[in-house]
Amino acid sequence: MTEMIAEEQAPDLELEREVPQWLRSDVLDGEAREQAMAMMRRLTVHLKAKTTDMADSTMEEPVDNYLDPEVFLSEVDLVFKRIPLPLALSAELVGRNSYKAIEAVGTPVVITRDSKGVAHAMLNVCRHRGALLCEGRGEARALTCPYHAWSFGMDGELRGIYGETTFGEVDRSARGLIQLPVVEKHGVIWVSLTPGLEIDIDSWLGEWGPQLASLKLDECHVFSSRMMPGPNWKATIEGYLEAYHFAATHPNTVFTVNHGNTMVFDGFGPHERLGFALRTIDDVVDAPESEWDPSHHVGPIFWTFPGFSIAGGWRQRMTVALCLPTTKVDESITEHRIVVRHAITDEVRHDLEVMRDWFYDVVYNEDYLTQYGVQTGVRATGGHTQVFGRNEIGVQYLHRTINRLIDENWQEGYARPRTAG
Amino acid sequence: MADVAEKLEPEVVPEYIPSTVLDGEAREEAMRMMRRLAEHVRSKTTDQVEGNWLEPVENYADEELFRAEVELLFKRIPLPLALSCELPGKNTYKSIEAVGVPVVITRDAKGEVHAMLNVCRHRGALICAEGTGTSRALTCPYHAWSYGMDGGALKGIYGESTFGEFDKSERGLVQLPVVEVAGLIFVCLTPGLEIDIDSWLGEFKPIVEALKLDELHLFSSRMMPGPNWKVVIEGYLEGYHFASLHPNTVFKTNLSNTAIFDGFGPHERVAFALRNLETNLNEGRDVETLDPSANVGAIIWLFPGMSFAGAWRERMTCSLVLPTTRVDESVTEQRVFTRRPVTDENREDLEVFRDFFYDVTYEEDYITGYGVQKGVKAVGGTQIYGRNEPGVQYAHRTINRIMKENHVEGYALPREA
Repeated sequence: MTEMIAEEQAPDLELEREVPQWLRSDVLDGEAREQAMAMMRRLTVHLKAKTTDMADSTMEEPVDNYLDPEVFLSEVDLVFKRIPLPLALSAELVGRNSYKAIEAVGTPVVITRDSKGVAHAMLNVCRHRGALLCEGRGEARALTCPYHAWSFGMDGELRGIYGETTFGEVDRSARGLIQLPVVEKHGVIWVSLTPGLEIDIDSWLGEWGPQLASLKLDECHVFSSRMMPGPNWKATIEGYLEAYHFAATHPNTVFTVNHGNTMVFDGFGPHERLGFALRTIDDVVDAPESEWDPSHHVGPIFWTFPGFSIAGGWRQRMTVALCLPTTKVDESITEHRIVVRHAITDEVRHDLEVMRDWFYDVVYNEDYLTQYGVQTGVRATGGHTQVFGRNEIGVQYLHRTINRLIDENWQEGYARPRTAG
Repeated sequence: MADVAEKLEPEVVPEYIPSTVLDGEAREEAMRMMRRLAEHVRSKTTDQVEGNWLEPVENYADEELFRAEVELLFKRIPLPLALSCELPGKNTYKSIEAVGVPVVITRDAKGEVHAMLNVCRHRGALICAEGTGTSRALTCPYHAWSYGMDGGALKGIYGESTFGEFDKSERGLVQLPVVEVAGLIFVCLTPGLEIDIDSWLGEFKPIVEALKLDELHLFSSRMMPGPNWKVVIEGYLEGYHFASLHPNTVFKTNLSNTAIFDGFGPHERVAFALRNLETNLNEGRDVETLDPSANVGAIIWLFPGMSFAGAWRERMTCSLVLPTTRVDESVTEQRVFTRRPVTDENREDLEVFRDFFYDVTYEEDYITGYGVQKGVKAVGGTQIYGRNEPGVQYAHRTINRIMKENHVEGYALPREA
């Protein structure tokens, strides 16, 4: 007999196993190091005063915004389909003739790097009978459909038709894969899900560009990648944007390495940077700044709208998560990756496996199970509101950004998010 | 998943143990039931209604109708979400999801019962895991906000000085109407909707009270998945299937297709002739000298899906069938109770009894029910309930009646054949 009710409450993990070693790095230099030191200064003030960065007031969010299929449709069409989505790391398409397939908000996408090293993005859909061409990551000189073996170049052009003499005439130029706008920048490959919609990456990133650039993602290696289901994308993402839950949700895991409810916050257009105080900071709070190492004492989250979170970005080892909705209001899917600055050798493989398993377990069993509960909770409390504290400034900022983008991209016939009061 | 039950062949069929719970008018009534059953045993008959009943199969699969059932039935009537004995002392709680609504029931420091949505008013996380427990406060596992047991007032906010100002009086747990009566705790899933428990129970109240539910001890509890809620409850309301579906289990102790039926408002009482009764009659014993708790298998069934089986015996089972949020899914809270405290002496017998009950219900009844769910999707047309299935007919008549009484513009009504 199977137990029916999904576990919607996180058990506190009591992991009697190795704690991952993230390792400090020397990636910070120049202006990036100055900024990291400034963040650390703010954190030391907070620690001494038992304070945290705070918004001006608390904020209410109607729970129906996590439930309403009409609002969800607006989010998908007016936000997700109109902004550049960071669907791959450059490091995931390492060499020429490589590809990565990913489904984003229900749209199957294949990203390729062609024989000249140029990145392309296309719908991962054969133009013969609509089958999906590939999955995961790999290397190939062509994309061959598993249904009838039609093959397409890494630039999407239709190349080969199996049994062509029997198939009959085809206008090949009209049957290439459908191209999606794509830009590779700062070690990330940005794709728009709307064909023909040009990506202005510099204006989308704005001041955030240099922040991302300082992480030098293009020098990194991907050790592991895993897809993780979750509830509504906003309920899921909120957990990435505050440290208020560390003590209660993660008593034996995250909270043993981070201070709870202690955070610095900065918004950069739609994007957010958070900094948490690692417990190692306790040793140097009163020490001269020459002894400070932000890569060892501060846990930064570089969070690119709408759900791309880089945690531990100044260290040797970091996690990169991309949370996207599926086609249902109450479902999301997160692509988790373990990314490292150093070479992946047999000597470090065990340590990386420890880190990987620890990270996936904590995120799923503690965060995501809690958030599945939130999805059940909001369904039961329709008409009520959530309240975000002044100390949950990153969560407040997320919701303000979503509302602003829906307003800016507004079109007749779409629902607007509800407002409180 | 299998959809055709493989008949169990258990090594032991647990014995039914009679009890002395029946007294006064309850015993008189049980004697009257036993006389009716004795007559059926002698004449090989069973209680019958006037005609057959046709039920359109779409009523088990239509999402619009299901939504109407949830809103017009399940969210408007008192649901027996707990037994009093599951919250045995002060500062106890039980958490259960009912029709997709997470509910927490508490007994406060004064012994008073409360029901609330089990949802933190900060960010919506679930507060208590499903099950029962003891606690002085309800503390959310997400950010450690805590609420009182006496109605869910917001008591503690972790990191309050950093969180900022808001109206705490408006952020207590959402209250649900609740009434404790006859050893049951009834909850209404719609805030503010008053429960008139006397008119809901009506003449059924003394029948439930006769079970003395507040004297029971909970031995085991398990959540069991199933198909559409109506498919599942039908199996609790007739003895016509005993011979064919339960040849080596229920049929070993009960006669098949030999039952009496009585309706009490929306509720039902069905009783089966036990093999003991047939043996006693065959051996020439006077029915007036027999013990109903040893000769009659009574099902006390509260609408919309709470079934007490073997209710007059030492060991009884209680099943609460509720839909989930999907038309083709239900979940049943199966419980085993005993009238005697659980001790090392009776524990092993209780374990055998428990496993037998869960196995029979799931492997024989529920697996068959899953098959029915597939079947109704495939065939179209109607089900037919026989004159010998009065309890099933009555349940459908009750559903249709309440759906009509509570009908609101914009909701579907059950199809009629």
